[in-house]
Amino acid sequence: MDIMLFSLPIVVLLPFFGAIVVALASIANRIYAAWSAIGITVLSIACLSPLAARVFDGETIIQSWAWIERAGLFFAFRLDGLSMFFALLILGIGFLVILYGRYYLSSKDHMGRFFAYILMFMGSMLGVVLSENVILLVIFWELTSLTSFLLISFWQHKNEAREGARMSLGVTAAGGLALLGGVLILGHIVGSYELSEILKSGDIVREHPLYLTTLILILIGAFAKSAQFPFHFWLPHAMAAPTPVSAYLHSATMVKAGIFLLARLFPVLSGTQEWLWIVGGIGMTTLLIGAYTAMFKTDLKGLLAYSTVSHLGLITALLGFGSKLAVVAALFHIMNHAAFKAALFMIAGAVDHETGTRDTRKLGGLIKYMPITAILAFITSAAMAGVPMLNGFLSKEMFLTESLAVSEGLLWASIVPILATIGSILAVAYSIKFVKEVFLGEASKDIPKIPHETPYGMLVPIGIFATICIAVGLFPAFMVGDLLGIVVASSLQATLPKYELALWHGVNLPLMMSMTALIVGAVVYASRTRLYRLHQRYIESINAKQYYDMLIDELFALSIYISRKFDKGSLQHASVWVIVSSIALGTIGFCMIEAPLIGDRSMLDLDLVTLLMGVGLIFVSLIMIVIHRQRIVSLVVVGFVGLAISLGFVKFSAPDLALTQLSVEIVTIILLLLALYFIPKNTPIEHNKKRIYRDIFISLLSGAGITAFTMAILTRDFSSISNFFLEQSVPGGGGTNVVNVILVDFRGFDTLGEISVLAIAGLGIFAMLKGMRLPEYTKNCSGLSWSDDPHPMIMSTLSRVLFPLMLMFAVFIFMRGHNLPGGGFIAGLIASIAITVQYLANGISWTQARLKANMHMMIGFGLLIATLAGIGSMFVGYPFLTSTVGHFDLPIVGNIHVASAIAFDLGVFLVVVGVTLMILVGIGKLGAVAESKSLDNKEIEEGA
Amino acid sequence: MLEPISVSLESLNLITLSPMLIAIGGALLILLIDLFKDNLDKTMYVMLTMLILFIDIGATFSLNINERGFFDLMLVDGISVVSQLIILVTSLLFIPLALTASNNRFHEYSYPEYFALFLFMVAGLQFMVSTDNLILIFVGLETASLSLYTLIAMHNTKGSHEAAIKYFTMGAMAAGFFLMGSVVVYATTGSVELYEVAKILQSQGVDGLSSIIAPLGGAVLMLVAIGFKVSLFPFHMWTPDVYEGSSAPMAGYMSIVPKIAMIVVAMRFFGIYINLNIEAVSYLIIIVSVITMTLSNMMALVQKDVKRMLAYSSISHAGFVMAALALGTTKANSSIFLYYGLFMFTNLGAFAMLWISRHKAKRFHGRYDHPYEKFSGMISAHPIAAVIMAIFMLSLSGIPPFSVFWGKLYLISSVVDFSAATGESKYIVLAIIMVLNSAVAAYYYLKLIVYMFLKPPVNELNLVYTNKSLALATVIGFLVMATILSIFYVQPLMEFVTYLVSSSGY
Repeated sequence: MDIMLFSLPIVVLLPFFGAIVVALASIANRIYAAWSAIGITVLSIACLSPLAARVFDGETIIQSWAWIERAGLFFAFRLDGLSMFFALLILGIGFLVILYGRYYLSSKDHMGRFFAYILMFMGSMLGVVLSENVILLVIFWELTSLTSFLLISFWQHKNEAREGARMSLGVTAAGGLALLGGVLILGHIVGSYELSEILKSGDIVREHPLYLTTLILILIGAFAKSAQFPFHFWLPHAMAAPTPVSAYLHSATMVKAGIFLLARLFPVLSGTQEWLWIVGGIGMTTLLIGAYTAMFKTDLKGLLAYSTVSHLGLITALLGFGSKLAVVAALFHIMNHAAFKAALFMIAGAVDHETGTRDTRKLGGLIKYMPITAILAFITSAAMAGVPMLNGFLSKEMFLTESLAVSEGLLWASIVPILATIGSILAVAYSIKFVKEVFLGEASKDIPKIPHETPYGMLVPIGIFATICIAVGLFPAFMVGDLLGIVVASSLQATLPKYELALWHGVNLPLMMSMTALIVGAVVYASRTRLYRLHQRYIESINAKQYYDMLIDELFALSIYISRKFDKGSLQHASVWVIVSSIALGTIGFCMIEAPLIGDRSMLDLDLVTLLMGVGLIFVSLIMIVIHRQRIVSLVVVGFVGLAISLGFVKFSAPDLALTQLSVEIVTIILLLLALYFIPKNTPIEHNKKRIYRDIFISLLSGAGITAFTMAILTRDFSSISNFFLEQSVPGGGGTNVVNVILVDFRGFDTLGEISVLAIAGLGIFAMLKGMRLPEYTKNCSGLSWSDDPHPMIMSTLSRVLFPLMLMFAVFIFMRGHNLPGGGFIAGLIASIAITVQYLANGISWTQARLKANMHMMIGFGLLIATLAGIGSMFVGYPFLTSTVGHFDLPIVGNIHVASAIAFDLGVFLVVVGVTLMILVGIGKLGAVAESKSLDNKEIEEGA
Repeated sequence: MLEPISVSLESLNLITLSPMLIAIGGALLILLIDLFKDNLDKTMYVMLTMLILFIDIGATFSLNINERGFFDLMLVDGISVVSQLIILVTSLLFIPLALTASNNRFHEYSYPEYFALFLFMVAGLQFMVSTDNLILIFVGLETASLSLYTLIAMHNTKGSHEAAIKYFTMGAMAAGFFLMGSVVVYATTGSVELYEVAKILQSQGVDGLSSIIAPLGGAVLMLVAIGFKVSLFPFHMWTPDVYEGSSAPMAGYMSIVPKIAMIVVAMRFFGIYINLNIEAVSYLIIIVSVITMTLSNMMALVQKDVKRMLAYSSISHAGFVMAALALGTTKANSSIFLYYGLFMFTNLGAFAMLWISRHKAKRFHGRYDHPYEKFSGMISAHPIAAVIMAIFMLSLSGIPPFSVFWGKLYLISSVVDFSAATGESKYIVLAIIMVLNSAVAAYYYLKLIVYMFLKPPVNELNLVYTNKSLALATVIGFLVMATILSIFYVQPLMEFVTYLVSSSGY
């Protein structure tokens, strides 16, 4: 019996494994695929059946393994009455559908793939119904959406299959995600994701403030899957699938998953007004809409699809009523509906198979050609209509009884039984239509194929279903009494209500309603032409899909609008948003905390002259910038503001700050000037007034924001905090001399980092400049043309004389670097200036012909030498980059102090020279195109 | 003359630097090899880079957790290790994508500088995540960013230059915000070491909260800088353009690696505020992330190009993750890494599939190179490729049992748990928004599946798939297996990540 300990996972996983077997079998022979699929199904049933006896004794079998505990996910399965019933339904109908499919699929279809998909779907469905852990349930739930997508799109070449598959996957997968949310919240309310815990905690859940949220999220998942209003539109579109798929997915199993979930969670979620209103209301709505639409469908499968929608609505409504007896009726109707609807789908498939069409307008009189099919169709559609002696009648009676019960004592609620009766009337009408227009009447001449009787392999499953319909209809208690008992008990998680399964309950109101439905239904069908006309005139245009489409369209329109707003690909636009939203975030944040904007630190005095000076300078430069159209001049004027600030620093006795500000300001302006080369010289006049005002507004706003923020910081006293830090840094930071240590001994480390970064930057700029073209300027901005002699004689002669001197100076600076200001960095800059001067004075081609060094090489060598110098000290046993010192006497230079760091300095020198030249020459070359035009040909030849 | 100061090598704990030094050393090695030997087969550089990354991974694994080094500048804690691992593994999977079919090599991979710059970028990112010193974070950020701009530009199409310039300009602005934020923090607390900042803010206690306005301003500035790098709405605007301009693997890489590094910074920085229960900051993060996931989802909905769609979808995923960051619980923080770890396989895979279909000279379409139409009917022409792409799309939409689902599950459940722990039901609203967003996202991912599986093929199917080579197939095969089989390794991965995150106190 050991294997029984994990038989439930085996039942679930066997079909997945079987899918592989089937795929392999189909390589050998396509028919093998069908038989192996049947074998797998039988094997699964065999695994399940030994446990059935225990379930009938009222036991709940749970087999659980820890899996991903942190996420609350256990590999846990549960077998009780409800799940066993559904598992048997899935396996049993699966068995018959596979049998049917073996004969249904034409030789062109890929059988192995088809049955592999079917088995995968079967496994996922089994997973849904047998899961004990609700997260596991959601996983299998999504798997059913995926596998059903594969099945629906099996005939990919059909246009409608495409649309249907997409819609069904979209709706059900999205619903599944909503379900995931609901389940997570449910688990958080209960404190466990295990069903056994959840089912016990009904009261906690119902009283929890999040009850409604949970309910709605779970219902979205369930309703999407079970094609309940307003998600009912996807089911008819999924009918493009092969018929066995429709029979299996869209009548018996997948669409029942939502209902299963409602029944499963019934003890937890039901019993509130919200439940009654939402579930009951949506159930009734779906019942009516489905039944009404079914009546006007001319496609056989469309008719069946809408009738399925309507029956599912009926079951949902019953569960929504919330009484125990209603649950009995609901579960009983699930059984019955599965039997007759699967048979009807198969009949529709058989008709399609034999005649080549499913259009009721073309079909007719088929009883002559396929009598057995016709008889089976009569029986099963009678069951659908709720004719006495058949199973559909019994559960419909119960539904009518419950609709009366729910309306008891409430006047307005008496609309429920009336609506229920209308639903039944419509059901009768479309059942008659199904039989009459296909099998009775005159034989049509438009049929694409001459029909024959259905093959026996397809008839057998239909026959079995029809037999079930009759047997249950006649002897309900004997056939399904026990099963229904345990199913209901496990769904309710409570004692069974008193009910009686019998054909005859005496003459009572429900019976009268049933009879009314049968008679009026026939009348409705008889007067169908007038109804069709009314329908066409007023109602046909109303279609739920239309609203779905409208919703999607609206969403898309909104999305397009948003995209247009935010996806402009314009830098200006992007930076506006960054600035505006940072202001917004700051404001929101400020509003959230309770603190005054201005602190209590007293402000310094300010004399009038300083104020006037500052304001005056800023104001003047502002006006200059606004009025001036020349970018370079405007930029220089911007610098005034920075200068005004450094004046302010001087005024408040901080000359060091003033100097820093001054140099930073100047460097920034120069850098910006360089960038300006690439954009037109003049600012175009902005004509868009709105834009100007917007920009002014944003500037003022950000200025105000920064001012407020600065005020907030500066008006608060922070000295206490700094003291705290100073006290803490000694014990915490490892000594006050930390900064010194870094500066003195490990400076080299920084420098190595710096030159690496420099090298990277050099390479980066080089790479970026490569593909660039500069505009060629033959005239300056005031219209004067540039001199046509780019390399004046005096300058080039002088530069050649100066060159060795400059290099000498670089060497001198380099050598004295360790003791006095200087070193590799400065020396590198001097050397590169020396070379750059040559470029400037003599032209690129001239210089390059004489200076053949590869700058990449130079950078590489520099980095290598620097690194080796550092590593060298490690070999001698000192830390990386430690230096040793020695003194030498050299003529002229004098006593020099040679540290091993001098090698390191050499590396720095080389990198600096390399990078600087590479960048400058790179930029210079950009102008070479322009230059080459003004040069004479001789010089170009010289360069080549 | 200063006294010589001796600092023992042991106290420096240079081992904490070893992963970055390996990357930098490797980059220099590549430059040197190029120096001496010019005409080497470029495949060798790919191999060399992979080798260096392997060594780097080894070094990262051998780090001891919760150690400081180099004058306490370096901080090796759990989140540093886990994020370095994500960075390195992604890099390792990214680099072989250079080996496209030999008749269709892209020229940026023929420069050894490309690989050197790449390794410098990796080192920069590693620095970013392994320190809590704002200055070093900034240095790492800039090293990585400057290298990245160049790497993008090296793709050397018209679009890639535009992308690099846009990224650079916006990046410079964001760097400015980062610096201003750091300055404010320094001005108010006197320290750039985040652990010191935390201590100081803590010591002020409730009385000091009146002066919290300045640190709050710092947090806002920081949020802008971080939002730029993680591409949160509305600081995301560079993302689609830059992704479109850069090569597909680079776009995939950018959607993961720089983001995870910045998220670690965000975790360290905002963690201080969240621990102090300054609700304003967590609300700001949540507001931004909710806007991010919702609006970018909607924009992904209407994209006509798959690459742009993936760009917007990765923005939305980032929004998801940032929302968890605002909670500050261990579960939420570890779910971030789990999410990115799992997302990495799928998203890099999806971009790699786009890369396979990139033709060097021919573009599919004047405006877009990867419109949906390009993939229609792929199931009949390249069934395996279509199935792989479909798996990536399903995973991205969070459908079980594929990898991203687990991240999503763990992330949402951490939000739900948080609301249980604090008793604040408004976080449930956040969870619901996350769920609904996933549902909307399913639509546009499925759109591609519909095109691939259900639409009739276009005539120029030879355009799809020109890049296929063994190297690419191997990487993609690995990625798709990691996506499918996540069900088996997600438990140990989750344990590992949770251990690392909780041991570093987040």
